[in-house]
Amino acid sequence: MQVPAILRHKSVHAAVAVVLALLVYSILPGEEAVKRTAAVFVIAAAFWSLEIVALHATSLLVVALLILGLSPPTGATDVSYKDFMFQFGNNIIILFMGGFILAKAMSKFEIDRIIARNLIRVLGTKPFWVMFGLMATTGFLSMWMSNTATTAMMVAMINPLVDQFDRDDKFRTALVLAVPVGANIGGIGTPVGTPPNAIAMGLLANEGIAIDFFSWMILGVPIAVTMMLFSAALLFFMFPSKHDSVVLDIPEAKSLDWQGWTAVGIALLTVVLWLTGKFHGISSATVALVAATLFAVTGLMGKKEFKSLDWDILILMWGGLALGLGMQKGGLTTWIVDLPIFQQEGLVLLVLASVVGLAIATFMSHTATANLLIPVVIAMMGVGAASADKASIAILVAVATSFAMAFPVSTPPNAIAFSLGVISVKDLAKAGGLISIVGVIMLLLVFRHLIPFVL
Amino acid sequence: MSAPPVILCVEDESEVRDAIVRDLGPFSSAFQIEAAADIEEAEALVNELAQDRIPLALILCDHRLPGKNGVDFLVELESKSPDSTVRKVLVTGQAGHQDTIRAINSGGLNHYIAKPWQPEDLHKVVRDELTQFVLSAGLPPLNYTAILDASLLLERIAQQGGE
Repeated sequence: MQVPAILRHKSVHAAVAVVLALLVYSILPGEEAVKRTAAVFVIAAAFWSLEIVALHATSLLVVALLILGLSPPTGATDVSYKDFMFQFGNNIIILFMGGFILAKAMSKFEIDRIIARNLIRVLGTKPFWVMFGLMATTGFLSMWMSNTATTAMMVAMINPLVDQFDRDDKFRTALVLAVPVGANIGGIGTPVGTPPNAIAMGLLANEGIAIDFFSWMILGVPIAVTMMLFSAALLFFMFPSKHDSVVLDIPEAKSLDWQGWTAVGIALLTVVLWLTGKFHGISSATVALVAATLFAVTGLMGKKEFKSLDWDILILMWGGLALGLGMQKGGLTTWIVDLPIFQQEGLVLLVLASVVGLAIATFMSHTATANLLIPVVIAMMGVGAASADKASIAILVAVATSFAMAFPVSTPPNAIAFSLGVISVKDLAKAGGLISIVGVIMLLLVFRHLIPFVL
Repeated sequence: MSAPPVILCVEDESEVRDAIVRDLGPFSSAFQIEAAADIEEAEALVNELAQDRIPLALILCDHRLPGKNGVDFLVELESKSPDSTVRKVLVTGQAGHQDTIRAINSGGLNHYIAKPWQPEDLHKVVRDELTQFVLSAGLPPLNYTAILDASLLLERIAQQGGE
């Protein structure tokens, strides 16, 4: 279908978004603050979903509009501009920054490659286990590194090996797909695995519901492992191997020097401290800060590495946290919960939230989806809702976004794997679509049993 | 979508020119391939591309040509736009010592292919040079992983990061 050129123009999108926001502002009944927050939300939704400007640019726009629209001296609310700005120092963002530094160190000293090379071979040479090993290795790394960086590294590693397979060997497709699937699902495993997890945690923390690192993993890891087993089985069924044994002979990574070993030491210390938060009481953000400090003080991570952190992602998360705060303080969340369509109870609401989260994230950035949707779903639960209910719905939506992987545009890992020209859109839609749906169904079946461990 | 970057082949002998263009076939899905028989024609093409703001990715240039020679052309291009991301390759059997030195020092030469060449050698050189072009021009690496050096391009993706 040919869309007229004018409709594809970004400035037209922007103009429509602004008109829509003004319309919402003028027709919405209620207090000034509610109307203004709703208008900002409309702008955020339009700009993030259509990517009218870069994701982080929208994020800055959201923060600026919230401050200029809601904070004194506007008189709309008494929420200080500082409250919005402090969200950039939210502990979840510091946690993520620490995670980025850890990931940078793993890639700088090629610790990621060493882990990948050794982990992949553990499960032997049976094709199914080779593919599951590849997927699980990618998944394990993406628990600590960004899904995108993990996929890029792993695909670069296996691409020359996959090239040697016969063109008509369907197992090639299985191997190439195993990487993004593993990265997408692996991100569910830890709070630093993917930004939506952190957004959920950060917004819940603003509601006074604290979730620590290990507790998240109690929920995230079993879900991730189960879904990886299912996905590997599915890929193996769809794209079987012609051979009885397959060897992924990944070239030797460079060995660790003392700097590399120091980095390994700091990384291990960080992970151990993250996992044992319940015992020593040091917050995971503080642990991240300590890790960053150690990497900086030892000089292992220099100015260059610090400059190259994904600041745009941190800014993107800032926008989500600020938007959540604005919606809460501006009264939009109370307004949402009064809407008749959200008078549903319990499971209906949870099913609705996760399906909508999955659907939106299939077509746009998972982080932006979380930014927009999680504050809304927390609000849907009602102001006086139990912590468990708020946590359930926020976590469900966050995890559901990670399952969205039906198309190349669904996630950067999909786009990377797809770019090689080995997998077709149809293969991806079938496998990724099924994994999406089964993932959300499984999530809805098991979360009730896992939530008590999280809180 | 904007027009694809251009690979320019400058060669006076038509059979040789056709052979090069044929060998460049695998790159035609993401690059536009243009050929010129002499420097005058090449310069006209370069100016036209600059006017249309179409990036020049790679020049494969013979040295001995009717009129102006290949090295002079490269040196002039380099002095006119020293910041250009275009990759320059001499494909020749007849460039002397002095000319070759000048091409390297003042012409921004990236590679030298001696005639006669093997198609797979030419393919590899072009692939490497185009990869460098994509990286230095800041084009989206994922648009090129299927035909260029995927490992290098993916490394850039890993460094760029993302969600």
